[in-house]
Parts: sequence; C-alpha cells; structure tokens
Amino acid sequence: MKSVKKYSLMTFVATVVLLFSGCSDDRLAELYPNPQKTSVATVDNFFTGVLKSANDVVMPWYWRFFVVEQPTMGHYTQVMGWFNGKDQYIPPAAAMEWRWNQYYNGVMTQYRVMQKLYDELSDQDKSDYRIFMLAATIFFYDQTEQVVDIYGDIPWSKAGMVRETGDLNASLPPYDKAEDIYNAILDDLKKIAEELNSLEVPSFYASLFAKKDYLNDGDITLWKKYANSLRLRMLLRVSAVPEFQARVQQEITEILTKPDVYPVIDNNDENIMLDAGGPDLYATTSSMHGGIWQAMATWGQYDIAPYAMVDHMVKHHDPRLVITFDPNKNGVYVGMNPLDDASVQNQQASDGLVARYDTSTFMRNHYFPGFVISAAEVSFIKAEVLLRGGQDALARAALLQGTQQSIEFYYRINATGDYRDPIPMNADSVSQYLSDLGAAWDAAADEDAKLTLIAEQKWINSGLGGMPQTWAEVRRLDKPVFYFMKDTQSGQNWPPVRWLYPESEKKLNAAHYEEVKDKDDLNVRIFWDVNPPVYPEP
Amino acid sequence: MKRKFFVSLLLLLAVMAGVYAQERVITGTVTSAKDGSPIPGVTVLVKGTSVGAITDANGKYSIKVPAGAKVLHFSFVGMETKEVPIGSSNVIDVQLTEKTEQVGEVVVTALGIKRQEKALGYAVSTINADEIVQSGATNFGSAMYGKAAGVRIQTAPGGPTSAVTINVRGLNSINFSSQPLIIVDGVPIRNGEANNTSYWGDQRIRGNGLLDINPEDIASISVLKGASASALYGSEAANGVIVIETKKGRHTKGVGIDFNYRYLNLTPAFTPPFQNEYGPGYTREINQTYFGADEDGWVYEDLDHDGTPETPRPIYRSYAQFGPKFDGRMVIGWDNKMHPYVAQPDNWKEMFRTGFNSEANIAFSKAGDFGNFRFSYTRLDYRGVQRGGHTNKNTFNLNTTLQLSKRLTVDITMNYVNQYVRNRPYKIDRITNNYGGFFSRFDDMQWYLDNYKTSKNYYFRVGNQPSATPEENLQYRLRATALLDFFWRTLRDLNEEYTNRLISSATMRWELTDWLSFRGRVAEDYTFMHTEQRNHNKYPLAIGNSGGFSMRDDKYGRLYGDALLSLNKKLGDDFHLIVNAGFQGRHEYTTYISAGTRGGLSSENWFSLNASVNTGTRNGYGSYSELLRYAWLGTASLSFRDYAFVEFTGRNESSSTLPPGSNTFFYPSMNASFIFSDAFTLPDVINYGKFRVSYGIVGNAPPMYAANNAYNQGNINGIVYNTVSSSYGNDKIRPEKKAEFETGLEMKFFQNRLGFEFTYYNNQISDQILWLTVPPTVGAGRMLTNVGELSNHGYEFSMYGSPLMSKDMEWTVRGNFAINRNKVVRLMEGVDRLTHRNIDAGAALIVSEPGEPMGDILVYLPKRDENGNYIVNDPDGLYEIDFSEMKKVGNATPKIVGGIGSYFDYKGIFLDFGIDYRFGGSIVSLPSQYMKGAGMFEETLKYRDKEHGGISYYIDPATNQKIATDQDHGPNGERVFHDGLILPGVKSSDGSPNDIIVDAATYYMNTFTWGANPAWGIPYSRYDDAVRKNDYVKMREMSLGYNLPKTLVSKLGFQNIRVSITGYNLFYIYRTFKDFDAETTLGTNWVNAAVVGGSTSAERSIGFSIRTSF
Repeated sequence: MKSVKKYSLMTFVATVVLLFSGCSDDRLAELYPNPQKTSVATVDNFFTGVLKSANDVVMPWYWRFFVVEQPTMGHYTQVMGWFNGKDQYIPPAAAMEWRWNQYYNGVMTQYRVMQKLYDELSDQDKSDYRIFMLAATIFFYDQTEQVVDIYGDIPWSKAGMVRETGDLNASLPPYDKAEDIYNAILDDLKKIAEELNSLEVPSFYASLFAKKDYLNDGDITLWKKYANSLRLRMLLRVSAVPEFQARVQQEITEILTKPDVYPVIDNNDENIMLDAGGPDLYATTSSMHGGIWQAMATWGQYDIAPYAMVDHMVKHHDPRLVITFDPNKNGVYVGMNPLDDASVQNQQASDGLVARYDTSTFMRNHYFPGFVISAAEVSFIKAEVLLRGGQDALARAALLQGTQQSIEFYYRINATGDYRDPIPMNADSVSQYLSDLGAAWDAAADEDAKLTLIAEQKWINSGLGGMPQTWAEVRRLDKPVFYFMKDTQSGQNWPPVRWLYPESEKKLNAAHYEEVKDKDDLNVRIFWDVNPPVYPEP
Repeated sequence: MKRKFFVSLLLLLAVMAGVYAQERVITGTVTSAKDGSPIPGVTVLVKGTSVGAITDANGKYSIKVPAGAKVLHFSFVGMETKEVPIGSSNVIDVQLTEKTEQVGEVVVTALGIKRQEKALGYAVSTINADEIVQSGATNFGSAMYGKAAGVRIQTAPGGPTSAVTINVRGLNSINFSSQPLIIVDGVPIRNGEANNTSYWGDQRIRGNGLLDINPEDIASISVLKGASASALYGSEAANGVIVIETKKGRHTKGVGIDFNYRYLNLTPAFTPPFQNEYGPGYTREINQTYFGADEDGWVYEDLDHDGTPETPRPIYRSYAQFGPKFDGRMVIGWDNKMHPYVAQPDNWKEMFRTGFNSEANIAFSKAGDFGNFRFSYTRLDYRGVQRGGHTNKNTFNLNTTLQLSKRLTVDITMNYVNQYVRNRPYKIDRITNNYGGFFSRFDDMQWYLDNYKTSKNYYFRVGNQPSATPEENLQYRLRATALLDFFWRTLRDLNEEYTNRLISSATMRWELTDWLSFRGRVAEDYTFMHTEQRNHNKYPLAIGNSGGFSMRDDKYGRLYGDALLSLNKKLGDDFHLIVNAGFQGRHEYTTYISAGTRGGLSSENWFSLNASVNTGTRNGYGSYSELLRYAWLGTASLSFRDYAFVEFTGRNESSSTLPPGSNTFFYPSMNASFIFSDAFTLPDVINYGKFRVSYGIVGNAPPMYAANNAYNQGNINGIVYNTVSSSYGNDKIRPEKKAEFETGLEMKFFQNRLGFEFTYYNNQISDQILWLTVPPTVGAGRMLTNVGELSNHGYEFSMYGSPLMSKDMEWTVRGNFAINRNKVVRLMEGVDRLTHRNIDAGAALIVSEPGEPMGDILVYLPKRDENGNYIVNDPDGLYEIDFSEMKKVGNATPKIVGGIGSYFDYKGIFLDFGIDYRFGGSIVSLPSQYMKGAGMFEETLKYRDKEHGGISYYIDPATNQKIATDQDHGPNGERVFHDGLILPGVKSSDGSPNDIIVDAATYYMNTFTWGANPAWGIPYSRYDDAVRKNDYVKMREMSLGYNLPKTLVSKLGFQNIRVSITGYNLFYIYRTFKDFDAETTLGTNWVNAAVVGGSTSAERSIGFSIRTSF
C-alpha cells in the first residue's frame, strides 16, 4: 500500500514537472509564427504571385462575367443580349466594389511587396532578378490601365503602402490624376522596353523565369512586345487629349518605324493570353462552376446573342458567325433586340427564337483563354493611327490584316473546344470577307466612315472575352453606335461612362475621397473620352 | 480502482473482526432528521478507538464497545457528524441532519480552490443541479436562461448540436472571444466560438464545446463574473468563468442507481405572420411590362395549343406577393399540374417536420472509506424539425475519488462523448435572406418536396436545361429555386460527422502537514472528428460532371496542468492566513486534414476519392496550429475573526499568441468582504449581512497567429508562388486589459427564507484588439490593431424567497435582473467609427463610435422639412430618403436581462417554471425587410383593397396619373382600382400637402427592399423597419410533475420517483419583435447575435420526464 502510494505520487509529480518543462520563452517564440505560412518569400515566387493575383480578372469565370462585367460593360457594348429592366444602366454595387478590391488587394498589394523584397536585395541579386521585376511591372501597368479606364483618378503612386509604413493613417493614399498615371506608366514602359533590349539575363535566372512565368513562358521577347503593344494601346487611347498629342505623335511614330527597337505583337502566335488549363486556371473540365461555363450558363441567359453583332456578321457574311453563335431553333441567326419590351424579349428567349453564343467556342469550351493583348488589336491600332496620319493604303492593309488575324484567332479558340468537332476555317469565305471589307473601305465616304469600319472590327475582336477593352474603345470612339432602350424610370437613362468608387473609399479614405468626389458620377467621362456618347432614339 | 476498493473492504472487515473481544453491545437505528428514513452505510465509531460498525440496510447497527468508552461517533457523507455520549442504555438511536452546505455556502473559486462564500469579496452566482435538469434544454448552457444575474444566454436554433452563446456582464471585447472560460472539475475545457462567418463561409449551424458537458452529470455551476473573481484564470477569464463541478458518488446501500428518461416532441415555433389573401406577382406595371400579365397579374398559357392562351397562372417568377387574390380558380402550377388557386397558410411550417428528442440516463454511484465513484451513461437521440438530419450521442462519465491514505487522495475523472450527426442543420439563409428562396403564399410545400429531384434522382431542371428527363423540366420559371436546392442539399446530399471526445483528468492532493498541502493536476481534452460529405450527381455524366465526395479529419487537443502549494494557518486566535502559490500551463493543438474529389465524380454516385474527375489533382488540404500559455500565480488572504476578509492575487502570464519579447504580462487583484451580521448584533430578522468590494485586472491576448505576419505560399498548376493575404497582422500588438471595480451587499432574513444580493460594477477594457477594416487602397483589407477603450458599468440584483414552507406545501421563487451600460470611451486616432457589420451594401450599419455604446445601428431615414413633415417625392409619391447622413435607430446590445423562477410543491405535486426577459436592445431582421417588401406579411395587406383601407382610383391614360374616385368607372370608362394610398407629408415639388396616389405594391416593394442607395436605383428604400426593438419576456420552461410518495416508492424498490410533463421554449409572454423568434440568430459573436434570419426554425419542445433513483 505504502509503495503504491509513493509510486503514484512520484509518477504524478514527474508528469507535472515534465508538462511544465515545456513552458519556456523559447517555446513561446517558436509557436508565435503561423506554421501554415512562410516567413521567407522570394522575388521569383512573388512574380508568380503578381500574375496569380490577377487570374480572376483575366480569366472568364462566373463572378467576373456573370456578376461584374456582363451586367455592366457587356451590356453597354452589346456584346451580349440583354433583358431590359428598370435601373439597367446602374452598375451593381457588387460589380464596382469587386473590381476595385481585386486590383488593390490583388495585383497592387502583391506588387508592392515584391518591390520591397526586390529593393532589399543586394546589387548583384537585383541585377539577376531584374527580369522578374520588369515583367511584373509591365503586368502591373496593364492592370492599372484597366482600372483607370473604369474609375478615372485612383490612388496609385502612394497606394498600397501600409505594409511598408505599418501606420494606417500615414498610409491613406491621395488620388492620382488619371492623366498623371497614364503619363507615368507611358514614361516607365518606354524605359522598360528599352532596358529589355539590352538586358542580359544569366541563364540560371532565365530558366527560373521561364519556370515562374506562366503567362509568356519566360519568353523575354514576348514581354518586350507586350510592353510596346501596351504602350500603343495606351497612346492611342489618349490620342485625342490635347496635352498628350505631342508624346503620342512622337512615340507612336517611334514604335511603328523602329520595329527592331520597339517590337510589337505581330501575329497570332504572339498573342498575350492566359491559357486555361490545369485545375487552377479555370479550365472548365475541373468544375462547371469554375470557368466560362457557369458565367454564361443558360439559367443566367447570359449566352443570348446580341442583335447588333449578329446582324453585322450576317449582313457581311462574317466567317466568324458560325463559330461565334448558334442559330435559333429555326436555324436562323438573329440576336435579341435591345429595343423590345422585356416581356417580348423573355418570350423570344424562352421560345428559342434568339441565337445564342456558340456552345463549343464559348460556353462549354473547357479551355477558353483569358485575353490580354492580341495581334489583331495591335493591327487595328496601327490602322487607326495610319488612317489618322493620312496613310490610307497602309491603314487599309492594317485593318485587313487585323481582321484576318481576328478570324484566325477565333478559329483557334474554336479548335480548343470539344463540345462539337472544330469547324475548319474556310479560306475562300475569309478572303471574300476581307475583299468585301476592303471594298467597303474604298467606298467609304470619309475618314469617319473608315474609322467606323475599324471600330466595328475592334468591337467584334475584343468582344465578350475582352469586355474591359471593348467598353473602353466604344467609349473613346463612340463607335459602333448602338440602340438602347431608354430607362425613363430611373435617373440613369443611358449606359454610364464610368463606375462609382466603392463605399470603402467614401467611408474609410474620406479625406482623400473629397478630392475626387465631384468626379464620382456615372456620367463623368474619363479624361481620354473627349466626346459625349451618342444614343440615337430609334 | 477496483483493487483499492477491495483493499478498503478488507481493511474494514479486519477492523470489525477486532470487535469481538469487547464486552458491551450497543444497538440502535440511524435515521434522517428530515424525513425519518433509515440511513444505511453510516460509520459508527467508538471515539478514541478503531472500533467501529456500519449501519445496515435498515439503518440498524450493533457495536461492541470496550469498557470505559464514553462517546459514539456517527459519520456519513453529506450529513453532519454527530457524537453521542454513551449512557446506561444499550440502545442509542440517532438522527442525522443533512449538512447545511446549502448553495452558496462553499464556492469553488479559481483553480478549484474552495472558499467559504462569506470570504469572497466578489459576486459569484451559483446554480444547482436540479435547476439544470428540470428544464427541457439539451445542454447546461441553454438551461441557464435567466438563472444567474448578469448572465445572458442565446442558443442558436437546431438542437443539441447548435452553439450556445453566454455573455457575462455585457461585452468585454469588441472583436474577439466574448465567451466565458468553462472549467469542469478544475479543468478549462474547449468551448470556443461558432458560426461567426456568413452563410458563404459555412452553410451549417455549428456547435461549441460546452454542448458536450452533460447536464445530468452536473452537481453545481458557479459563475465568476468580475475581474477579481477571474483574475487567476488568465486571459480567457476576461469574459467571466463558468465553474462546473460534476456529481460525485454518494453513500447508498449497495450501489446507488439513478435512472432518468425524457422524451420531447419538437415542433417549429414562432412562425412568421404571413398573409394568405394574395399570391405571387409584382406591381401592376411590372406584371404587365415584363411578364405580359393582365391588370390583375394573370398570365395565360396556351395548353391546348389552339393558338389562344386560355389557362391562367400567376407569375411564378415573382418573389413578391402582390399578384392575384386567391379565388380558388384552377391554374396551371409551376409543377406542370393543375391546382386550385388557394393560399397555403402553413407552408412555412411544412417546410419543417415534427421532431423528437429522447434522452436516457443511468448513473451508478458508491461512496465509502475507499473514496467514491460515480459512473453515468447518457444516450441522446435527436431528430430536429429540419428535415433530413438526426443526431445520436452517447456520453459516459466517470468521477472517482480515491483515498490513498489519510493525507493523499487522487481524483480521476473521465468524460467520453461519442456523437454521430447526420446532416447537421443547414442554414436557411438562401430561403429567408435571398429573393431566390422566397416561395409564394400559393406554393404547396409538397410541390417542392416532389420536385427538388427528378424521377431519376437528379437535380431539378428548369426551362430547357439539358436533362435526362426533359419532360420533367419545370417549364414556368419559378422563384424559389433556392428552396429546391435547399431540399436537394438537406435530403439528397449526405453529410456525416463522427465525433469522439475524451476529457480526462487526474488530480492529486497531498497534505504535507496540517497547514501545508500540495495539489497537482494533469488533464487532457481531446476531440477527434471525422466528416464525410457525399454530394450526389446532379445530372448524368453525359451532360456534365457533378457530385463530389470529401472526407475531413479534425483533431483538437489541449493538455492542461497545474501545481499549487497551499498554506492554511491560524495566526493566534483572531487571524487566519491562506496563501497559495502555483503554476499553470496549457498547450493546445489543432489539426485537420481533408481530401476531396475535384471536378466531380467520374462514376455516378460513387463516393470515393478514386472517383475524382481530376485524379491527379484531388483537393487536399491540411493544417496544424499550436498555442502555449502558462502563468505563475499567487494568492494571499487574511481573515479576522471569520468576519473580515481580505485577499490579494497576482498572475504573470505568457502567451505564444503575442509577439516574442512582449508576450508576458502581469495582473493583480484584491478583494475584501465584511460580514457585518457577525461583527455586530443585528435585529433577529436579519440572519446574514455581507458587504464586499473588489478590484482586479485581467488581460486578454489575441487569438492564435492573428498578430503574426507571414507569406502565403501556394502553387498554380505546380508553379510555386508567394502572396500576402488581405489581413495584415501586427507585431506590436498589446494584450487587451480589463480593470474592474465591484462592490456588493448580500443579506438574508427570516431564517434565510428571504434573501437578496446586490452588486455594482464598473470596468474599463483598454487596448481593445480589433481587425480594423481598412480601405484596400492602403494595401490590406484589414489590420490587427489596438484600437480603443471600452467601459461597462452595471447593477445586478437577485433575490429569492420562500413565501410558503410547511409540511405539505412549499413555494420558492427567485428572480434577478441586471442592467449593463456599455460605452466606447475612445478610439485610436484617425478612427472615428468602427463598422462591425455593413448590411446590404451600406443600407444599415452596426457601428461603434466614441462616447456611444457599442453596436449602434444606423440607417437612412426619410427626409423632413423644417416643420417636421415628411417629404414625398413628386411625382413618384414615395418618401424621399435623406442619404446625407445615417441616423441611430437602435443598439445591438440589450440593457436589461434577467429571469424569474418559481417552484411550487403541494404534497409532491409540483409546478416549476422559468421565465427570462430582455429589454432595451434592438435586432436587425433582414428577412422582415425583404418579406415585408415582398408583401408576404399580414401587415402588408394594408392598402391593398377597400377592406384594408385602399384608396379607389383610376389611371388617366393621357397622363398616366392615378386619380381618386368614388365611382365604379373613370370618366371614360377606365377601370377603378382599390389599392391606392397617399403617404402623409408634403410634396417635394412645392411643399404642398401630398395628394399623389401610389399603389400598395409600388409602395411596399420600393420602401422595403434590398439595399438603399439612389446611385443604384434604390432611392426610396429604408431600413428603419428592419431594426426592431427586441424586448421580450419568454416562458422558457415549465414542468408539472409529481414526486411519488416515499412509502409507495420504497415498495417498488425505489428511493425516488418523479414524473413530470415538461415544456421548453414555450411562448412569449410579451415581445416587441413578432416576425420570427428573436433568438434565431447565428454566431457567438455579439454582432451576429443582433442579426436575425438565415439560421433555421426555432423549436418548441413538449414532453415528459421520469426521474428515479434506487
């Protein structure tokens, strides 16, 4: 009995002592960091992180399409059929907020951290990792341009700094003028483009870059072309703004005349786009809820064909028609008329009387890509620049080239779909279409008519897959002209020309929001949008 | 244990054997002073010797006493020891009285230190076992409603697996844990928060750890409320401490057995006040413009394909109920069948079912010289009112004390819980907080139950969606597809949880000397949970991939240990010193691993990871986390003549959740009490009087890893990347610190038949830690910040009385109320408002602002002119809303909480009830907003027709204006409608009295809808009506029963039998919010507790209970 007692007592005391011996300062410190996170991050990993943080705005998928872009830009540019309704020209709050947060909590935050990590490197490391930083910067600028085109002035040069300062109040950012952001980006992109020409990437880092770069697979030339093409896009966008005209003139000329120094995307093999694939890049094989499938699913009716685009394609025998749309149940290609009452539209949709987006190319294409910048877009930019520069023949050639590239591009996408067998491109109908387009060019009454031809091709090309660019160009050119049902029941009669800042800015960055409050209106145009929109009454 | 038991028995026999040498035999019977019943098992000792005996089953004993023996010593657990002088008689009958260890006399305080109640300088509320098991609650938390002053309970609906929120003395933390620490037999057990994410974060109603403490095993509950009371428990004690002691073995003849059974019938309670006169449809204008309906809201279908639509139907797509009036005509339903057009008044109720709750408990116990033990087993079977789920739970509890020697005892406790949950209650958020789930007043619930899956067991299909059975596709687009989806998820999909939890502890007490003792304790609370989710294929593989299977294992463990050295010494005649010094440590770890198919099931309804469509990349996740906290602590208390007491405590705590270098903090407390009834001579009616005062500080560290900043690492198709999340930690964070002053008075009168206790407290909680929402433009979404200071002050009052107390009759009542006033003292520079919840994109906010109480609810209100008249928009006829400023319309926290209890017994027939109440707070009911706007509630009948006060008008076709008339037709034969109203106010155009007629549907749909923002086309919506005062008095529980007479009971071989009819969550005696049960909130966080809707239906339980012991 006594020994049992002693034994249990000793065991017990030993257990207690053992338990408490695990309590020490070192142990506390050891358990402070979250083991599911890493305290070591690298510039190369952050480069991929920067790309990754924008996947949701580059790839087509449910939220981006269904909630954010289709009810707004998709509707305003008539790249899809839309059911008329009250307040249809007021962008949903969820859309405006999401796009903003995606940029700031996404690519901007990651880019700032990457920048910080890069700045802390030794000089040798800086030069080794230079390509990562330059590529990330190009991508960051591309994303920035899209956000500026939606909101106008945004907090930018001093935004995203809280992780550096650790002080919230010191980090509340002022707003940069949209013009200033454009200027800063254009300045820097030029430098980057030039630096890339001479940049020597040690082979180890080049192969590391190739491994990390899932956008361009480490092809530095492609990044160079991306940078210059982006410059072209942005220069053209501000070309009607007087203060920009000098630089636009000079830089566009420079880019177009020195392709060896400032190469741009020339053909469809060079298109910058994000290929859907694998489970993490919105291939819809992984889940019908992930990719374009649910974005356009029939219950949302967001696959209904727009009247204007179908009409244009049918009238001009566009070879893209058969791969872009499925005809209605009677085999007829006809889109949904935006001027019909909603009840009529509903009836027609439920009766299967309207065409829909092609199931194989679009909705059930497991590999529908994310558009970034394409050869066709660059050709159309050239066409416009040349047209405005009085070089009619070259402009005509560029338009035809761009159109051909666009047709090829869509046939390539069609070929990735497996819902139906891919449709081979009919060379005859393509050349017929191009020659018709050339004839239309020749027959065009004036420069404006020719510009319309370019704008139509641009619109068809960037279309649904590239709604942000589609909307920006429609606003800038006010072409093509669309008919809309006027919403007389709401204060917003016609499609807006920008979005509103999110509530978080009004409430939490209130002092700086005051700077832009007056411009926070759906009908205040972005600085490059010099002409008011035209909404013809039918 | 078994061996020790026998050893003790043998020892006892040996002792008894020695008795034969003696000369004189004394016999007698030991009975209870209370009811005269014999007491078996009483130890009878001849004082000063080891000669003894034990009473038999009839309380009789016989003992041979040596010559010269003077006194017999009678002892029995739970009874006062008695010494009787041996006289000349050889028969000594003895009556033992029960120890007057009444509730409150001895209290378990911090670290299991037992103190006399009168020595405490702070408030402790105690609740005894009877009060806990009497109620129909399935857990002790829900049984505590209204029973302790200043303790607010809120139970999430969904039964025994749904979390219970306990708030002690208002709110002590803006952002983090607000739940008290729960100590069972000296061990802090896992409790935790639950359901603090939105529907999208978690679709099921979760539970917290306290649910596993079986009420049948509880002997007593003490609630330590103030900082001084909880100073020794450390961080988590800032929210108060609930100290639970479980039942121990008791002396009985043989082994004592208790058997209890309870069966409760469950029905959905507090259903919404729906109208039953109008079916689906929007405003006349929308019905006609967008749906091609006629003026009454009818759409005609051409079912006979003769080219002329002839069969009517309402607009099934409509979430609103402003369609045609129910008239019984035959219509084509959305289920493609013909139905009479009538209301379904009970369709909400029919969404649920009648459930039951059955609970059986058996306990064995024994006490003796070896110590004591109690073993109990409880079986719970629950079938809640939500269709598709059930729960089984087995609870085993063992509580043992072994007396190893006079100076050494060991306590071993084990609580093992084994639980199976099938389809844990699913949130109905998509039905109540989402227009996509608004089923109409016309909808028969059976249509949904018949149509959520197709005849081939696939997911319902609408329109021309691809299907294996296209002819079954629902042709008319219906609104409540979210309800169909809900049934699919709860009836077709299968979620199974298997939980095993073991709480075990070993405590050793060693009395080194009479005045010095040592205690050591080790305990482990370990939970293992395995979950499997089976999602059936929604459509054939030929159409697409769907379905899924996943498994998840969760482990949660906490190892706890403490060591305490206690000195307990009298200093002279007047002073008594008690000093404790100790160490306490806790290590917690959590792990989970889950794996699931990705991209659907490759073979229909084959539930295996091997069925993953993407086999190379199944979803696999896992994580582990660890926490360490430890502390040195000490207490010193000094008393003077047992009527003046003073105590000091100190605790030095270290936590791994704080940044290294600043992870240790110290906090002290002191308290004093003075028993003036002992110090002075007071009038006879006053039996007890105590004055007390205390001051203490408690710290509160942030949760695990919240402060730490690190990088995320992941991979995208195999490419490794780093990112930072939008939550930004803080390496400079300081622990929250709560300082509290408290004073109180306790008195008892009339032989303790009346008593009260009054407490005033005042606390400041500084360095509040909060995830501060920051604008994304700074580069983060939220930041961990020491953001400000809170304060609470309040009063608690409780009293009890026994107005009737006679042989046949007993009536006792108890009541309490507590007032708490909360204030945000200040916030960090640059922050003038904390937004805790942004409701519907800013339409309503729950905020805290300096100088105001936490949780003000702000909304936009209608504009008024300088004379206070409402401004009506011309020409829309609706109130213009002032969007320039948000105004306070309520506060999320109640001001007064309390309860009243009564027990009345007449010759064994008893009636017991418990009422609890709450006053002064508001809740936000989003379903009320949406459902009112959708015309679902009875109140929305107002203005819809003549009977309900509608104005008659016709529409002038030229101007489209509504013109009042008392004729049957307009001047040109226009149709006259009767659903007009004119809002009182002045017109925005010229300030003249409003005369614009709007139709009722337009008014409701525009005034009470989702969101409020003119820029988004919602200019007339206001949320003040969604913010409701939440004052209520609820009949929480009631039981009517009978204690069978002892004589009858003992003939049956029992000691006690009690049968009763029992009800729980019965009815509101008074309430200001009538749309739903105000308690159907989710989440243990205080903000969530202020938002009603989206959980599931409340349940009303009525049944019977039998309690026996033998």
